[in-house]
Amino acid sequence: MTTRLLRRTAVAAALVATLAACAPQAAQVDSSASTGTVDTDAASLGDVTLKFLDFSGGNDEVYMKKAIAAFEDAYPNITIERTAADFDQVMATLNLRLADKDGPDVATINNGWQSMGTLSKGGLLLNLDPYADAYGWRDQMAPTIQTEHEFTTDGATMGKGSLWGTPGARLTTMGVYYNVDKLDALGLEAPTSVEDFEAALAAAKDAGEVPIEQGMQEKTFATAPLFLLQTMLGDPTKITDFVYGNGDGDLAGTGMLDAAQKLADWSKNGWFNGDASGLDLEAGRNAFQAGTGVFHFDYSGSMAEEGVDGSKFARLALPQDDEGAAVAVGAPAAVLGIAARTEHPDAAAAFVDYLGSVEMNQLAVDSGMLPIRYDGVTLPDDGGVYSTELEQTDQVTQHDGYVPFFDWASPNMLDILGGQAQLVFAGKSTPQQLVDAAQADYDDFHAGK
Amino acid sequence: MASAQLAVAVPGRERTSAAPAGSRKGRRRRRWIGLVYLAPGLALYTWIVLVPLGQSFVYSLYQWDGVSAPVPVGVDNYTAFFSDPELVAALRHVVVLVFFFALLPIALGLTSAAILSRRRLRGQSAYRWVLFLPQVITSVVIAVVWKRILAPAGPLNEALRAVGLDSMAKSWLGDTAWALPSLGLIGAWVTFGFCMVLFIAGAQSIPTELYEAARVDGAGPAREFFSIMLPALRPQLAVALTLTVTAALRTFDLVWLTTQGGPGSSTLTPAVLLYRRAFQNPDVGAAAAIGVVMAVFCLVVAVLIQRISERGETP
Repeated sequence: MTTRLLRRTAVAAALVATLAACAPQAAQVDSSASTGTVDTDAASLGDVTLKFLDFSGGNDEVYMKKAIAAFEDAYPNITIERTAADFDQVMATLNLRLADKDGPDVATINNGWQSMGTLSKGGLLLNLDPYADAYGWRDQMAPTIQTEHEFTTDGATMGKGSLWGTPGARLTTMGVYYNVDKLDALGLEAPTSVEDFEAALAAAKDAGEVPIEQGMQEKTFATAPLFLLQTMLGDPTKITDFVYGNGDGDLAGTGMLDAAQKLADWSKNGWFNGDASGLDLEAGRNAFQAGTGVFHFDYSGSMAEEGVDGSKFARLALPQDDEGAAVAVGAPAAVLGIAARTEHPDAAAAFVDYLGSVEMNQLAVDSGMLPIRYDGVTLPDDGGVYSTELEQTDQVTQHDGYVPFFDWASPNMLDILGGQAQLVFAGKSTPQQLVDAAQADYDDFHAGK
Repeated sequence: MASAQLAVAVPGRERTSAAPAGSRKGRRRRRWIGLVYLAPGLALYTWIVLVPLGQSFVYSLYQWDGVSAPVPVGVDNYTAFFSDPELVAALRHVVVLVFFFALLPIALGLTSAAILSRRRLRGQSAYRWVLFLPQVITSVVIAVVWKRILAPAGPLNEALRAVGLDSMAKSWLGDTAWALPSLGLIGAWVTFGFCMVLFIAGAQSIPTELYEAARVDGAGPAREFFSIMLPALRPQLAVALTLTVTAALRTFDLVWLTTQGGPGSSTLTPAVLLYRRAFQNPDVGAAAAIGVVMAVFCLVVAVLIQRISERGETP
C-alpha cells in the first residue's frame, strides 16, 4: 500500500516537473551579429549564402526569380537560396521560422500588428534604421508608405519609430474597376463623386445590367467593398490615425459607419450580383472579366491577368467628396524583413536594398505591376487598364495619399470586419452592429497592450 | 480516439495475459518483459502525444503571442468558453454537426444495412464500394468538389431550376441560414458509407438461424430489426458513434476550405477558432485552451460510449 502510494506520488511529481519545464518562453534570439557597423559594399563581403523565405504563385513568382537572378549577376559572391510557400502558409509559420537557427535570413513579412508588430516586439526582426540611413531608404518611398513599416522599439506603437521592413518594388492598391463599353453604352462618364457613382449604379440597374459584380464568400475579401467605400467617404487622416492608434479611437468617425450603411443600402437596392454571397473573390472577378457587371472592387493588377483584354477595362480614380485628394488604400505587395539572428546582416541588407532599386521597380513595371518608386522608371502607355492604374497610383504617390489597410488596426480586425461585412451585406446585421463589434475589439486590444 | 482506446485497453490486456500460476518472482519478471516490449511504442507515444498534451495545457494558462514574453492569466482562457460569443457559437454549431456527421449517417447506415442484409441485391458489392468511396477521398478534394456543386451556378441549383424550383436555388454556402446545414450534409455524405460498411459487416456475422426463428414466430421486418439486428450491432454502433462524433467535434478542413467560418460566424467551429488563434492572430494560450477542452470532450465522448456499449453486453 505504501509503496504503491510512493510510486504514485513519484509519478505525479515527475509529471508536474515535466509540465513545469514546458512553460512557454519568449523566443530566444542571439542577435549578436548586428554589431552596429554597417558595410554597404556588398561585393567585398566574401562568399555568402542567404536564405530567403518568400511566397509563391503566378506573376510574383516569375518576378522574384528574375529579381534574384539579376542580383546574383550583380553580386556573384552572394547566393540566394529561395524557399517559397503559399502566402498564408508563410504568415502562419513566420514566427517559428524566424526564431529557428536554420531559418531564413531575409523573409517576406506582413504589415500590421499580427505580423510585423509581433515580430519586432519579440526581437525576431533586425532593426533596419542603421541600414536605412546608410542606403537612404527613407527617401525612396512616399512617407505614408514608410510609416507602414514603423513600430516603436517597445512594440507599443505602430506608425512611428524604427523601420522593421522595406517595401521592395511592388505596390498593391485597392480600386474600383469598370467595364468601358458598358459604361459607354449607358451614356455615362466615369463618376468622380460618390453621388455620381450611385447614379451610375442606379442607371445600370435600370438598364438591366448587374451594377457591381463581386464575390463576397471569403471573409477576407468580403472587406474589399467596405474598405473602398470607407476610402471614398472617410477622412484619410482619421482613418490613418485610427489604424496607428493615434487619434481619438472613434471608429464611427473614420467613415466606417457610412461605408457599412452604403454597403447595406447598395445590397438592398440590388446593386450587387444576386449570387455575390456564394462566390469567392476570384469567381466574381472572373465573371466581371468575362463581361458581367459594370463595376468591380478588387486589388491592383487583377485585370492585368493573362488572357484578359486590358483595353476593355479601366480603373476609376476613386470618387471622393474632398475633390483633388488622391487617396488609395495601398501597401507593398511584399514587405521584406531581415531576421535578427542572421549571421550576414550586411549581405541581407544589400539584397533588400537591391530589391527596392530603380532597376527592380522597372522590372515590376515591365511585369505589369505597380512600382513603389516612379523616379527613373519608364512607364508604358498602352491606353489600357494598366495605364490608368499606373497614372492614378503616380498621383497618389505624388500627393503622398496612401491609407493603410484598415484591418491592421488590431489583430482580429480582418476577421471581424470580414464576417460583419458579410452579415451587413445579407441584411443580418446593422451597420451600427458592425461598428460596435470592431470598436469593441479595437478597445480591448489597446487596453491590453 | 485511438489514444483513449489504447489507454483503456492496455492495462486490461496485461492483467489477463499475466500468468495465472507460478511464483511471484516469475510473474513480476514477465511483467517487466512486457514493459520492455512496450517501451519503444510507449516512449514514442509519450514524446509525440503526452508531452505536447501537457505542453498545451501549460500554454493554456498564459496569454502568449508565441514570440514575446508570456503573461500568466490563470483560467481566463477557459472562462472564455462562457463569455466569448464566438466560442459559444462554435460550440452550438458542433451540436448541429454531431447530428449531421454522426446521427444522420448512422440512421441511414442502419437502414441500408437492414435492407441489404435481408435480400441479396444484384451488384451489392458495387453499391457498397461506391458509397464507401467518400471515406477514402482527401478532404481537400471533397471540399473543392462540393464547393462547385453548391455554387450559385452549380449543378444543385441548376437541377432545382430545371424542375421549376427556382425559388429554392440559393448560394448554399454563402447563406447565413443554409451554410451550416450544407456543410453538415457534406459531412453526412462522407461518413454515411463508412457507417454502412461497418454495419453490413456486423450484420453478416449474425447467424441466419436467428432470423429464421424470428420469422417462424411471425416477426415482421421492423421487429427483426429491433430485436435481432440492433442488439447484435452494438459494438459496431459504439465504434461508429465514437469516430463520427469526434470527427464532428474537430471539424476543420471542410469548413476552412469552403467558408472560413463565414458568412459572419455562422459556420465557425472550435477547431477553426483554434487555428485562427494559434496561427493567424497569435494568441497561443487561447488556442491551447480550445485544444485542451476539445481533447477532454473527445475523451469523455469515447469513454461514455464505451461504457454504455459494454454495459449492454453483460446484462
